[in-house]
Amino acid sequence: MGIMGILLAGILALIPCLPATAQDSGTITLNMTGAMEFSINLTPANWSFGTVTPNTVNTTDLTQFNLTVDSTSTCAINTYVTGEDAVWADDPGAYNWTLSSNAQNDIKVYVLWFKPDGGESYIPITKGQTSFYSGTLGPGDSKQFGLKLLTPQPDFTKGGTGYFSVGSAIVQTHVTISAVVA
Amino acid sequence: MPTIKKFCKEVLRKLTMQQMKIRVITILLAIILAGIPYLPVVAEGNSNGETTITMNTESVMGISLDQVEWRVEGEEDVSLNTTYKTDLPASWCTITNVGNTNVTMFIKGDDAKWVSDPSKKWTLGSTGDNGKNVYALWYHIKGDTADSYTLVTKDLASMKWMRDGEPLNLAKHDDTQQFGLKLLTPTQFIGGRTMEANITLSAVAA
Repeated sequence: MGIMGILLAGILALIPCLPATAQDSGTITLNMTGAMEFSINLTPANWSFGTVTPNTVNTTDLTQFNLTVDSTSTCAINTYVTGEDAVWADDPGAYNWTLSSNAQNDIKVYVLWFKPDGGESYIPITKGQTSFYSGTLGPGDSKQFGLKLLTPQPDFTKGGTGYFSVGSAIVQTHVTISAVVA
Repeated sequence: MPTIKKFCKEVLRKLTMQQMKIRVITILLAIILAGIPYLPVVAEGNSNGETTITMNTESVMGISLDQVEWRVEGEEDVSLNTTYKTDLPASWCTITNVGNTNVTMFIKGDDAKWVSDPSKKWTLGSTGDNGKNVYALWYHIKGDTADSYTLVTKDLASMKWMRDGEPLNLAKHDDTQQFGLKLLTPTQFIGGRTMEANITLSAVAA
């Protein structure tokens, strides 16, 4: 304890005598990296095409769906759209429609497209990622779009009319838009 | 004695240092945990937006039966108070959903009438017991409890599985179910008459 006290006193006594470098100011560099955060919102969360018949095209208004990038987001994003097979809501394992990968329908194969409001043509939605918007979207940006559905060819025909294997049934699918930092 | 005192002091000193170490580590851990929310985050928040698309389908109802007649003993005559089963006890008749509506099956029987004079008949019993000019009829669904038969009466009744009491359903196009029939002839009847009865199977939207 005695030795430590003497040493400390010595150090304190010497501090004013340390060589000064003739500076009266200093610079501190502060480094910070802003977090890249974003959030997107797709509305409406649910949409019904109503009653559909085999091998028919059904479209929504081109402003039916709206993708919004939250205004508090801190970065630009790239967006992608994917679809999935449609299933019988009552018994998904018993009946489904496969989402076409080549924009052609067939028995139990349906086609889905999207078209941005102001876009030139419908773009097929597949189970793989398709670019939703060619550019980047920034905080507060929004894009409206519509969907086009081509139902499968009939599973059977009765009295000259084509039908699906399940009647008075709800067939359900999901469209997902995903985003990544640009 | 001084040695013991010295030893105790040393132990206490080490324990105190150990506690300090723990405290320092705890404080460091708290700082690290508190700092986690401020670490640079990439793609935090909702990176996906999803919409559920639904479509309703049109319905059409229809069933077909692959049997239209049961000649109980072929070209032979039936005997009094005797039980007969279809040659395939569980799969004699196939019901097929030729529409696409989820249907429940109903069944009803009828009195058996002499083809030459329909006023002469065997009454279809309502209890499963036979009697003079009274016969009984049952069905068995393929896959149901072994040798379980359900009585057919003149009242339209839902066809049900004996195993769980659930109705017999054909949910979608081309769904099939099979069944067989069992007949118990009257205890008394006038021989030489050809008796004919109709069994009606109906489909009702489930």
